[in-house]
Amino acid sequence: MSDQEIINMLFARLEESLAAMDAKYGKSCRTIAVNIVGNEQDAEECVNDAYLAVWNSIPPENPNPFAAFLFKILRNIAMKKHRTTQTQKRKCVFEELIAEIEPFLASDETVESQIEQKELARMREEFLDTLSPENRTVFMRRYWFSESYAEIARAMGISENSVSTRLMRTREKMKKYLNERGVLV
Amino acid sequence: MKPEKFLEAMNEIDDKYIEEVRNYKMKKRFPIKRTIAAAACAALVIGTFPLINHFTSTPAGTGTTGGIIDAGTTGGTEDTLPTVIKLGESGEFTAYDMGGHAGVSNLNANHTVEFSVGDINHFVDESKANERKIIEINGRTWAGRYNFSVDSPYYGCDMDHYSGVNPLTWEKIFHITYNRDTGELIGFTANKVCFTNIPETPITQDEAYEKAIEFLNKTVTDMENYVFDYSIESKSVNGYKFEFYKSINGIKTMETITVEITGAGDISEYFLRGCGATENVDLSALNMDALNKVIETKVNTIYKDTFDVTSTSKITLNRLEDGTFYFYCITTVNGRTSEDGELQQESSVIAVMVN
Repeated sequence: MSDQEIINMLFARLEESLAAMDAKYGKSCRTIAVNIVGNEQDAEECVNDAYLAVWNSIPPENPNPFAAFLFKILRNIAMKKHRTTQTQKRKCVFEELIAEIEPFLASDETVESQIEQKELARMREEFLDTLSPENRTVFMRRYWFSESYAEIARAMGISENSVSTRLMRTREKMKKYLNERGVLV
Repeated sequence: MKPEKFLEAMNEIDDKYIEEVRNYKMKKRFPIKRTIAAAACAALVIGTFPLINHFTSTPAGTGTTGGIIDAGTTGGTEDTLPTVIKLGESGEFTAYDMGGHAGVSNLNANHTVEFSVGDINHFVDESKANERKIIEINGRTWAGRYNFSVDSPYYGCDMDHYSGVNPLTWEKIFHITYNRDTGELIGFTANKVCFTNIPETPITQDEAYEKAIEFLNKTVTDMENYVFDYSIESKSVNGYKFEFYKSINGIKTMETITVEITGAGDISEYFLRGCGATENVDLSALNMDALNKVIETKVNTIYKDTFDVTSTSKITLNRLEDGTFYFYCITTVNGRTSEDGELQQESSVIAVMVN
Protein backbone atom coordinates (compact mmCIF):
# COMPACT_ATOMS: atom_id res chain seq x y z
CA MET A 1 0.00 0.00 0.00
CA SER A 2 1.34 3.41 -0.87
CA ASP A 3 1.86 6.16 1.67
CA GLN A 4 -0.74 8.28 -0.10
CA GLU A 5 -3.32 5.52 0.27
CA ILE A 6 -2.61 5.36 4.00
CA ILE A 7 -3.00 9.12 4.23
CA ASN A 8 -6.25 8.94 2.28
CA MET A 9 -7.54 6.36 4.75
CA LEU A 10 -6.54 8.63 7.62
CA PHE A 11 -8.41 11.49 6.01
CA ALA A 12 -11.42 9.19 5.69
CA ARG A 13 -11.01 8.36 9.40
CA LEU A 14 -10.78 4.63 8.67
CA GLU A 15 -9.29 2.68 11.56
CA GLU A 16 -7.82 0.24 9.04
CA SER A 17 -5.28 2.96 8.32
CA LEU A 18 -3.57 2.09 11.61
CA ALA A 19 -3.26 -1.55 10.64
CA ALA A 20 -1.95 -0.52 7.24
CA MET A 21 0.58 1.78 8.88
CA ASP A 22 1.66 -1.01 11.20
CA ALA A 23 1.97 -3.52 8.39
CA LYS A 24 4.19 -1.22 6.42
CA TYR A 25 6.23 0.53 9.09
CA GLY A 26 5.64 -1.46 12.30
CA LYS A 27 8.93 -3.33 12.15
CA SER A 28 11.01 -0.24 11.53
CA CYS A 29 9.11 1.65 14.23
CA ARG A 30 9.68 -1.06 16.83
CA THR A 31 13.38 -1.20 16.03
CA ILE A 32 13.74 2.56 16.41
CA ALA A 33 11.77 2.57 19.67
CA VAL A 34 13.53 -0.44 21.22
CA ASN A 35 16.92 1.06 20.50
CA ILE A 36 15.94 4.23 22.33
CA VAL A 37 13.90 2.98 25.28
CA GLY A 38 15.66 -0.35 25.73
CA ASN A 39 12.79 -2.78 26.14
CA GLU A 40 10.03 -4.13 23.98
CA GLN A 41 7.13 -3.31 26.26
CA ASP A 42 7.91 0.41 26.43
CA ALA A 43 8.76 0.38 22.75
CA GLU A 44 5.35 -1.06 21.89
CA GLU A 45 3.75 1.67 23.96
CA CYS A 46 5.74 4.34 22.12
CA VAL A 47 4.79 2.91 18.74
CA ASN A 48 1.11 2.89 19.68
CA ASP A 49 1.39 6.46 20.95
CA ALA A 50 3.03 7.46 17.69
CA TYR A 51 0.22 5.88 15.68
CA LEU A 52 -2.28 7.76 17.81
CA ALA A 53 -0.38 11.02 17.29
CA VAL A 54 -0.40 10.42 13.54
CA TRP A 55 -4.12 9.67 13.69
CA ASN A 56 -4.68 12.94 15.54
CA SER A 57 -2.55 15.06 13.26
CA ILE A 58 -3.67 13.74 9.87
CA PRO A 59 -5.87 15.53 8.95
CA PRO A 60 -5.21 18.44 8.85
CA GLU A 61 -1.56 17.53 8.16
CA ASN A 62 -0.79 15.93 4.83
CA PRO A 63 2.86 15.01 5.24
CA ASN A 64 5.22 14.11 2.47
CA PRO A 65 7.30 12.04 2.99
CA PHE A 66 5.02 10.15 5.32
CA ALA A 67 7.64 7.76 6.77
CA ALA A 68 9.91 10.56 7.97
CA PHE A 69 6.88 12.23 9.56
CA LEU A 70 5.95 9.05 11.43
CA PHE A 71 9.53 8.26 12.45
CA LYS A 72 10.11 11.78 13.78
CA ILE A 73 6.98 11.62 15.93
CA LEU A 74 8.00 8.22 17.20
CA ARG A 75 11.56 9.29 17.93
CA ASN A 76 10.29 12.25 19.96
CA ILE A 77 7.92 10.07 21.96
CA ALA A 78 10.59 7.43 22.57
CA MET A 79 13.05 10.07 23.75
CA LYS A 80 10.51 11.45 26.19
CA LYS A 81 9.93 7.93 27.42
CA HIS A 82 13.66 7.43 27.73
CA ARG A 83 13.94 10.55 29.88
CA THR A 84 11.21 9.42 32.26
CA THR A 85 12.71 5.97 32.70
CA GLN A 86 16.30 7.14 32.68
CA THR A 87 16.79 6.61 36.38
CA GLN A 88 16.35 2.92 35.89
CA LYS A 89 19.44 2.97 33.70
CA ARG A 90 18.18 0.47 31.24
CA LYS A 91 20.69 -0.96 28.85
CA CYS A 92 19.87 0.32 25.41
CA VAL A 93 21.57 1.58 22.29
CA PHE A 94 20.59 5.14 23.12
CA GLU A 95 22.68 5.05 26.31
CA GLU A 96 25.61 3.93 24.21
CA LEU A 97 25.04 6.82 21.83
CA ILE A 98 25.10 9.33 24.67
CA ALA A 99 28.41 8.02 25.96
CA GLU A 100 29.80 7.83 22.47
CA ILE A 101 28.95 11.35 21.33
CA GLU A 102 29.76 13.15 24.59
CA PRO A 103 33.52 13.60 24.05
CA PHE A 104 32.82 15.34 20.76
CA LEU A 105 30.53 17.99 22.20
CA ALA A 106 31.39 21.14 24.05
CA SER A 107 30.86 21.03 27.78
CA ASP A 108 29.93 24.71 27.77
CA GLU A 109 26.24 24.85 28.56
CA THR A 110 25.92 28.35 27.15
CA VAL A 111 26.77 27.27 23.65
CA GLU A 112 23.11 26.71 22.92
CA SER A 113 22.21 30.21 23.91
CA GLN A 114 25.00 31.69 21.83
CA ILE A 115 23.98 30.04 18.68
CA GLU A 116 20.44 29.74 17.63
CA GLN A 117 19.12 26.24 17.28
CA LYS A 118 18.18 26.90 13.70
CA GLU A 119 21.70 27.94 12.87
CA LEU A 120 23.00 24.80 14.53
CA ALA A 121 20.60 22.66 12.57
CA ARG A 122 21.71 24.33 9.37
CA MET A 123 25.36 23.68 10.16
CA ARG A 124 24.62 20.08 10.99
CA GLU A 125 22.95 19.64 7.65
CA GLU A 126 25.83 21.34 5.90
CA PHE A 127 28.15 18.94 7.65
CA LEU A 128 26.05 15.96 6.57
CA ASP A 129 26.30 17.22 3.00
CA THR A 130 30.08 16.93 3.18
CA LEU A 131 29.87 13.18 3.82
CA SER A 132 29.70 10.50 1.18
CA PRO A 133 26.25 8.90 0.86
CA GLU A 134 27.59 5.71 2.47
CA ASN A 135 29.11 7.47 5.45
CA ARG A 136 26.05 9.71 5.81
CA THR A 137 23.87 6.61 5.86
CA VAL A 138 26.04 4.99 8.54
CA PHE A 139 25.95 8.20 10.60
CA MET A 140 22.19 8.57 10.27
CA ARG A 141 21.54 4.92 11.04
CA ARG A 142 23.56 5.33 14.21
CA TYR A 143 22.50 8.75 15.48
CA TRP A 144 19.05 9.11 14.06
CA PHE A 145 17.76 5.56 13.92
CA SER A 146 19.81 4.58 17.02
CA GLU A 147 20.91 1.33 15.43
CA SER A 148 23.61 -0.86 16.95
CA TYR A 149 26.88 -1.49 15.13
CA ALA A 150 25.71 -5.01 14.39
CA GLU A 151 22.45 -3.79 12.88
CA ILE A 152 24.22 -1.24 10.70
CA ALA A 153 26.80 -3.77 9.61
CA ARG A 154 24.14 -6.25 8.68
CA ALA A 155 21.98 -3.75 6.86
CA MET A 156 24.88 -2.39 4.86
CA GLY A 157 26.82 -5.56 4.29
CA ILE A 158 29.99 -4.27 5.92
CA SER A 159 31.86 -5.42 9.00
CA GLU A 160 31.24 -4.03 12.46
CA ASN A 161 34.82 -2.85 12.44
CA SER A 162 34.14 -0.87 9.32
CA VAL A 163 31.07 0.69 10.93
CA SER A 164 33.12 1.57 13.98
CA THR A 165 35.93 3.09 11.95
CA ARG A 166 33.59 5.12 9.77
CA LEU A 167 31.72 6.49 12.76
CA MET A 168 34.91 7.36 14.57
CA ARG A 169 36.16 9.31 11.57
CA THR A 170 32.83 11.01 11.06
CA ARG A 171 32.69 12.12 14.70
CA GLU A 172 36.20 13.50 14.46
CA LYS A 173 35.28 15.25 11.25
CA MET A 174 32.12 16.66 12.79
CA LYS A 175 34.02 17.96 15.78
CA LYS A 176 36.51 19.68 13.52
CA TYR A 177 33.78 21.03 11.27
CA LEU A 178 31.69 22.51 14.06
CA ASN A 179 34.75 23.66 15.95
CA GLU A 180 35.93 25.69 12.96
CA ARG A 181 32.56 27.41 13.02
CA GLY A 182 32.82 28.20 16.69
CA VAL A 183 30.13 25.82 17.80
CA LEU A 184 32.11 23.32 19.76
CA VAL A 185 35.28 23.43 21.78
CA MET B 1 26.13 20.75 24.91
CA LYS B 2 24.64 17.67 26.47
CA PRO B 3 24.67 14.61 24.26
CA GLU B 4 20.98 14.02 24.93
CA LYS B 5 20.27 17.48 23.54
CA PHE B 6 22.41 16.83 20.53
CA LEU B 7 20.61 13.58 19.79
CA GLU B 8 17.22 15.16 20.37
CA ALA B 9 18.13 18.06 18.12
CA MET B 10 18.89 15.56 15.40
CA ASN B 11 15.13 15.20 15.14
CA GLU B 12 14.96 18.63 13.52
CA ILE B 13 16.94 17.41 10.59
CA ASP B 14 15.53 17.73 7.10
CA ASP B 15 13.35 14.83 5.96
CA LYS B 16 15.57 14.26 2.96
CA TYR B 17 18.28 12.69 5.13
CA ILE B 18 15.82 10.22 6.61
CA GLU B 19 14.49 9.42 3.20
CA GLU B 20 18.04 8.94 1.94
CA VAL B 21 18.65 6.21 4.51
CA ARG B 22 15.41 4.51 3.57
CA ASN B 23 15.95 4.74 -0.15
CA TYR B 24 19.69 4.37 -0.36
CA LYS B 25 20.51 2.13 -3.27
CA MET B 26 23.67 0.33 -4.10
CA LYS B 27 25.18 0.42 -7.51
CA LYS B 28 24.04 -2.42 -9.68
CA ARG B 29 26.06 -5.57 -9.90
CA PHE B 30 28.95 -5.47 -12.28
CA PRO B 31 29.30 -8.74 -14.15
CA ILE B 32 32.78 -10.04 -13.66
CA LYS B 33 34.15 -12.12 -16.40
CA ARG B 34 36.90 -14.56 -15.80
CA THR B 35 39.08 -12.85 -18.33
CA ILE B 36 38.66 -9.48 -16.70
CA ALA B 37 39.62 -10.90 -13.35
CA ALA B 38 42.60 -12.61 -14.85
CA ALA B 39 43.57 -9.46 -16.66
CA ALA B 40 43.26 -7.54 -13.43
CA CYS B 41 45.57 -9.95 -11.67
CA ALA B 42 48.04 -9.83 -14.49
CA ALA B 43 47.90 -6.07 -14.63
CA LEU B 44 48.64 -5.89 -10.96
CA VAL B 45 51.77 -7.89 -11.36
CA ILE B 46 53.06 -6.29 -14.48
CA GLY B 47 52.47 -2.87 -13.07
CA THR B 48 54.29 -3.57 -9.87
CA PHE B 49 57.49 -4.95 -11.25
CA PRO B 50 58.89 -1.63 -12.34
CA LEU B 51 58.22 -0.43 -8.82
CA ILE B 52 60.18 -3.27 -7.35
CA ASN B 53 63.04 -2.28 -9.54
CA HIS B 54 62.61 1.27 -8.49
CA PHE B 55 62.70 0.58 -4.79
CA THR B 56 65.26 -2.16 -4.64
CA SER B 57 68.83 -2.15 -5.75
CA THR B 58 68.70 -5.67 -7.11
CA PRO B 59 66.75 -6.65 -10.19
CA ALA B 60 63.42 -8.30 -9.56
CA GLY B 61 64.26 -11.88 -10.29
CA THR B 62 60.67 -12.98 -10.09
CA GLY B 63 59.85 -10.86 -13.06
CA THR B 64 62.15 -12.78 -15.28
CA THR B 65 60.35 -16.05 -14.71
CA GLY B 66 57.21 -14.96 -16.42
CA GLY B 67 55.75 -12.77 -13.73
CA ILE B 68 53.40 -13.57 -10.92
CA ILE B 69 50.62 -14.46 -13.27
CA ASP B 70 51.08 -16.97 -15.97
CA ALA B 71 48.98 -15.15 -18.50
CA GLY B 72 48.93 -18.17 -20.75
CA THR B 73 46.89 -20.20 -18.33
CA THR B 74 44.35 -17.51 -17.60
CA GLY B 75 43.70 -16.34 -21.11
CA GLY B 76 44.87 -12.81 -20.39
CA THR B 77 46.81 -10.98 -23.03
CA GLU B 78 48.60 -7.70 -23.05
CA ASP B 79 45.95 -6.31 -25.33
CA THR B 80 43.31 -6.67 -22.64
CA LEU B 81 45.34 -5.19 -19.82
CA PRO B 82 44.97 -1.68 -18.50
CA THR B 83 48.13 0.27 -19.10
CA VAL B 84 48.20 2.01 -15.76
CA ILE B 85 47.79 0.64 -12.31
CA LYS B 86 46.18 3.00 -9.90
CA LEU B 87 46.15 2.86 -6.18
CA GLY B 88 43.53 5.21 -4.89
CA GLU B 89 44.28 8.68 -6.12
CA SER B 90 48.00 8.33 -6.17
CA GLY B 91 48.23 6.04 -9.13
CA GLU B 92 51.08 4.26 -7.43
CA PHE B 93 51.63 1.14 -5.49
CA THR B 94 52.39 2.25 -1.99
CA ALA B 95 51.93 1.54 1.66
CA TYR B 96 49.45 3.53 3.64
CA ASP B 97 49.78 5.55 6.77
CA MET B 98 51.18 3.86 9.81
CA GLY B 99 49.22 5.89 12.36
CA GLY B 100 46.66 4.80 14.85
CA HIS B 101 43.83 5.02 12.37
CA ALA B 102 45.38 2.71 9.87
CA GLY B 103 43.46 -0.17 8.53
CA VAL B 104 41.63 -1.04 5.42
CA SER B 105 39.54 2.04 5.79
CA ASN B 106 42.54 4.20 5.19
CA LEU B 107 41.84 3.94 1.56
CA ASN B 108 38.48 5.45 2.18
CA ALA B 109 39.60 8.32 4.36
CA ASN B 110 42.76 9.33 2.61
CA HIS B 111 42.16 8.47 -0.96
CA THR B 112 38.45 8.80 -1.58
CA VAL B 113 38.28 5.26 -2.80
CA GLU B 114 34.97 3.87 -1.69
CA PHE B 115 35.54 0.19 -1.37
CA SER B 116 32.77 -0.52 1.04
CA VAL B 117 29.59 -2.01 -0.22
CA GLY B 118 27.32 0.76 0.89
CA ASP B 119 23.77 0.13 1.81
CA ILE B 120 21.70 -2.79 0.81
CA ASN B 121 18.92 -1.70 -1.39
CA HIS B 122 15.88 -3.32 0.03
CA PHE B 123 12.42 -2.80 -1.17
CA VAL B 124 9.03 -4.22 -0.45
CA ASP B 125 7.88 -6.68 -3.04
CA GLU B 126 4.18 -6.16 -2.67
CA SER B 127 3.27 -9.22 -4.68
CA LYS B 128 4.94 -11.38 -2.04
CA ALA B 129 3.84 -9.38 0.96
CA ASN B 130 1.57 -12.10 2.31
CA GLU B 131 3.85 -15.00 1.53
CA ARG B 132 4.41 -17.41 4.38
CA LYS B 133 7.06 -20.05 4.65
CA ILE B 134 7.75 -22.74 7.22
CA ILE B 135 11.34 -22.42 8.29
CA GLU B 136 13.35 -24.89 10.29
CA ILE B 137 16.28 -23.64 12.30
CA ASN B 138 18.02 -25.51 15.09
CA GLY B 139 15.51 -28.31 14.74
CA ARG B 140 12.60 -26.03 15.52
CA THR B 141 9.87 -24.80 13.26
CA TRP B 142 9.18 -21.16 12.63
CA ALA B 143 6.38 -19.52 10.72
CA GLY B 144 8.25 -17.27 8.33
CA ARG B 145 6.71 -14.14 6.94
CA TYR B 146 8.08 -12.53 3.82
CA ASN B 147 9.63 -9.16 4.57
CA PHE B 148 11.43 -7.88 1.54
CA SER B 149 13.87 -8.80 -1.14
CA VAL B 150 17.40 -7.61 -1.47
CA ASP B 151 19.08 -6.96 -4.75
CA SER B 152 22.63 -7.05 -3.63
CA PRO B 153 25.70 -6.96 -5.83
CA TYR B 154 27.93 -7.60 -2.86
CA TYR B 155 26.34 -10.87 -1.91
CA GLY B 156 26.42 -12.03 -5.45
CA CYS B 157 22.80 -13.08 -5.38
CA ASP B 158 19.31 -11.73 -4.94
CA MET B 159 17.91 -12.57 -1.58
CA ASP B 160 14.52 -12.95 0.06
CA HIS B 161 14.16 -11.92 3.66
CA TYR B 162 11.77 -13.48 6.14
CA SER B 163 11.07 -13.03 9.79
CA GLY B 164 10.28 -16.19 11.73
CA VAL B 165 7.87 -16.52 14.62
CA ASN B 166 7.30 -19.53 16.80
CA PRO B 167 3.50 -19.50 17.09
CA LEU B 168 3.59 -21.26 20.45
CA THR B 169 5.95 -18.93 22.27
CA TRP B 170 6.08 -15.86 20.02
CA GLU B 171 9.84 -16.00 20.01
CA LYS B 172 11.23 -14.35 16.92
CA ILE B 173 14.02 -14.91 14.50
CA PHE B 174 14.95 -11.97 12.33
CA HIS B 175 16.62 -11.53 9.00
CA ILE B 176 16.20 -15.05 7.76
CA THR B 177 17.69 -14.68 4.35
CA TYR B 178 17.65 -17.02 1.39
CA ASN B 179 19.26 -16.93 -1.98
CA ARG B 180 16.26 -16.42 -4.19
CA ASP B 181 17.64 -18.59 -6.99
CA THR B 182 19.06 -21.54 -5.10
CA GLY B 183 17.16 -21.44 -1.81
CA GLU B 184 20.48 -21.51 0.05
CA LEU B 185 20.30 -20.12 3.57
CA ILE B 186 22.34 -16.90 3.68
CA GLY B 187 21.80 -16.01 7.28
CA PHE B 188 19.58 -15.32 10.24
CA THR B 189 19.66 -13.58 13.57
CA ALA B 190 17.81 -14.95 16.56
CA ASN B 191 17.18 -13.29 19.83
CA LYS B 192 19.26 -15.18 22.33
CA VAL B 193 16.25 -15.80 24.52
CA CYS B 194 15.09 -18.12 21.76
CA PHE B 195 15.97 -21.78 21.88
CA THR B 196 17.33 -23.49 24.93
CA ASN B 197 17.78 -21.61 28.19
CA ILE B 198 21.42 -20.96 28.84
CA PRO B 199 22.61 -23.19 31.68
CA GLU B 200 24.44 -21.89 34.72
CA THR B 201 27.63 -23.36 33.34
CA PRO B 202 27.64 -22.52 29.65
CA ILE B 203 29.46 -24.70 27.17
CA THR B 204 33.16 -24.06 26.61
CA GLN B 205 34.58 -22.31 23.58
CA ASP B 206 35.89 -25.60 22.20
CA GLU B 207 32.47 -27.19 22.53
CA ALA B 208 30.90 -24.15 20.88
CA TYR B 209 33.38 -24.40 18.02
CA GLU B 210 32.43 -28.04 17.49
CA LYS B 211 28.77 -27.04 17.39
CA ALA B 212 29.54 -24.35 14.87
CA ILE B 213 31.45 -26.75 12.62
CA GLU B 214 28.68 -29.32 12.86
CA PHE B 215 26.12 -26.72 11.80
CA LEU B 216 28.29 -25.30 9.03
CA ASN B 217 29.09 -28.69 7.55
CA LYS B 218 25.38 -29.29 7.18
CA THR B 219 24.56 -25.79 5.92
CA VAL B 220 27.45 -24.66 3.73
CA THR B 221 28.03 -26.68 0.60
CA ASP B 222 31.72 -25.85 0.17
CA MET B 223 32.76 -25.58 3.79
CA GLU B 224 36.06 -27.28 2.97
CA ASN B 225 37.15 -24.05 1.26
CA TYR B 226 36.66 -21.97 4.40
CA VAL B 227 39.38 -21.32 6.94
CA PHE B 228 38.77 -20.50 10.59
CA ASP B 229 39.85 -16.92 11.24
CA TYR B 230 39.09 -15.84 14.76
CA SER B 231 36.67 -16.18 17.62
CA ILE B 232 35.15 -13.75 20.08
CA GLU B 233 33.61 -14.52 23.40
CA SER B 234 30.45 -12.51 23.68
CA LYS B 235 30.67 -9.81 26.29
CA SER B 236 26.99 -9.38 26.99
CA VAL B 237 25.53 -12.86 26.76
CA ASN B 238 27.12 -16.22 27.30
CA GLY B 239 28.05 -17.14 23.80
CA TYR B 240 30.75 -17.30 21.19
CA LYS B 241 31.22 -15.89 17.74
CA PHE B 242 33.37 -17.57 15.11
CA GLU B 243 34.44 -16.19 11.78
CA PHE B 244 35.66 -18.08 8.77
CA TYR B 245 36.89 -16.84 5.42
CA LYS B 246 36.97 -18.49 2.06
CA SER B 247 40.47 -19.16 0.91
CA ILE B 248 41.44 -19.45 -2.72
CA ASN B 249 44.95 -20.67 -3.34
CA GLY B 250 45.96 -19.44 0.10
CA ILE B 251 44.50 -16.00 -0.48
CA LYS B 252 41.98 -14.71 1.99
CA THR B 253 38.84 -13.47 0.24
CA MET B 254 36.00 -11.26 1.30
CA GLU B 255 33.64 -14.21 1.42
CA THR B 256 33.16 -14.82 5.11
CA ILE B 257 30.92 -16.77 7.44
CA THR B 258 29.98 -15.61 10.89
CA VAL B 259 28.30 -17.96 13.28
CA GLU B 260 27.30 -17.34 16.86
CA ILE B 261 26.64 -20.09 19.38
CA THR B 262 24.78 -19.50 22.62
CA GLY B 263 26.01 -20.83 25.92
CA ALA B 264 23.49 -23.63 25.47
CA GLY B 265 24.95 -24.64 22.13
CA ASP B 266 22.24 -23.24 19.85
CA ILE B 267 23.03 -21.24 16.74
CA SER B 268 21.84 -17.71 17.42
CA GLU B 269 23.32 -16.01 14.39
CA TYR B 270 24.61 -17.17 11.08
CA PHE B 271 25.56 -15.07 8.11
CA LEU B 272 27.36 -15.44 4.84
CA ARG B 273 28.96 -12.24 3.64
CA GLY B 274 30.17 -11.59 0.15
CA CYS B 275 28.90 -14.98 -0.90
CA GLY B 276 29.47 -15.71 -4.55
CA ALA B 277 31.53 -12.57 -5.01
CA THR B 278 34.64 -14.47 -6.03
CA GLU B 279 33.01 -17.21 -8.02
CA ASN B 280 34.40 -15.94 -11.30
CA VAL B 281 37.82 -15.17 -9.98
CA ASP B 282 40.64 -17.40 -11.01
CA LEU B 283 43.41 -16.97 -8.50
CA SER B 284 44.96 -20.34 -9.12
CA ALA B 285 47.46 -18.81 -11.49
CA LEU B 286 48.64 -16.28 -8.96
CA ASN B 287 52.14 -16.78 -7.68
CA MET B 288 51.77 -16.02 -4.00
CA ASP B 289 55.47 -16.16 -3.25
CA ALA B 290 56.14 -13.47 -5.78
CA LEU B 291 53.26 -11.31 -4.61
CA ASN B 292 54.40 -11.67 -1.02
CA LYS B 293 57.85 -10.62 -2.05
CA VAL B 294 56.52 -7.51 -3.74
CA ILE B 295 54.78 -6.45 -0.56
CA GLU B 296 57.61 -7.39 1.73
CA THR B 297 60.06 -5.47 -0.39
CA LYS B 298 57.80 -2.50 -0.37
CA VAL B 299 57.36 -2.49 3.40
CA ASN B 300 61.05 -2.77 4.07
CA THR B 301 61.99 -0.17 1.51
CA ILE B 302 59.61 2.51 2.64
CA TYR B 303 59.50 2.11 6.36
CA LYS B 304 62.62 0.31 7.43
CA ASP B 305 64.34 3.35 8.86
CA THR B 306 61.29 4.94 10.38
CA PHE B 307 59.16 2.17 11.77
CA ASP B 308 59.69 -1.26 13.12
CA VAL B 309 57.55 -3.28 10.78
CA THR B 310 57.61 -6.72 12.23
CA SER B 311 55.33 -8.85 10.15
CA THR B 312 52.87 -8.96 7.37
CA SER B 313 49.51 -10.62 7.44
CA LYS B 314 47.95 -12.68 4.72
CA ILE B 315 47.22 -11.05 1.44
CA THR B 316 43.52 -10.53 1.10
CA LEU B 317 41.37 -10.11 -1.93
CA ASN B 318 38.54 -7.62 -1.86
CA ARG B 319 36.26 -6.01 -4.33
CA LEU B 320 34.85 -2.57 -4.93
CA GLU B 321 31.22 -1.88 -5.59
CA ASP B 322 31.88 -1.59 -9.28
CA GLY B 323 33.40 -5.05 -9.36
CA THR B 324 37.04 -3.97 -9.36
CA PHE B 325 39.28 -6.26 -7.37
CA TYR B 326 42.21 -5.31 -5.26
CA PHE B 327 44.55 -7.05 -2.90
CA TYR B 328 45.59 -5.73 0.41
CA CYS B 329 47.92 -6.70 3.13
CA ILE B 330 47.98 -5.48 6.71
CA THR B 331 51.24 -5.11 8.56
CA THR B 332 51.87 -4.77 12.25
CA VAL B 333 53.89 -1.78 13.29
CA ASN B 334 56.26 -1.35 16.18
CA GLY B 335 55.42 -4.83 17.33
CA ARG B 336 51.93 -3.85 18.39
CA THR B 337 48.62 -5.30 17.41
CA SER B 338 45.22 -4.03 18.32
CA GLU B 339 43.43 -5.18 21.43
CA ASP B 340 41.15 -7.45 19.53
CA GLY B 341 44.05 -8.89 17.61
CA GLU B 342 42.51 -7.97 14.30
CA LEU B 343 45.29 -5.65 13.28
CA GLN B 344 42.90 -2.79 12.75
CA GLN B 345 44.83 -0.31 14.82
CA GLU B 346 48.53 0.40 14.90
CA SER B 347 48.79 -1.29 11.59
CA SER B 348 49.15 -0.34 8.01
CA VAL B 349 47.57 -1.39 4.82
CA ILE B 350 49.34 -2.14 1.64
CA ALA B 351 46.89 -2.14 -1.17
CA VAL B 352 47.29 -2.95 -4.78
CA MET B 353 44.45 -1.78 -6.90
CA VAL B 354 43.56 -2.12 -10.49
CA ASN B 355 41.25 0.45 -11.97
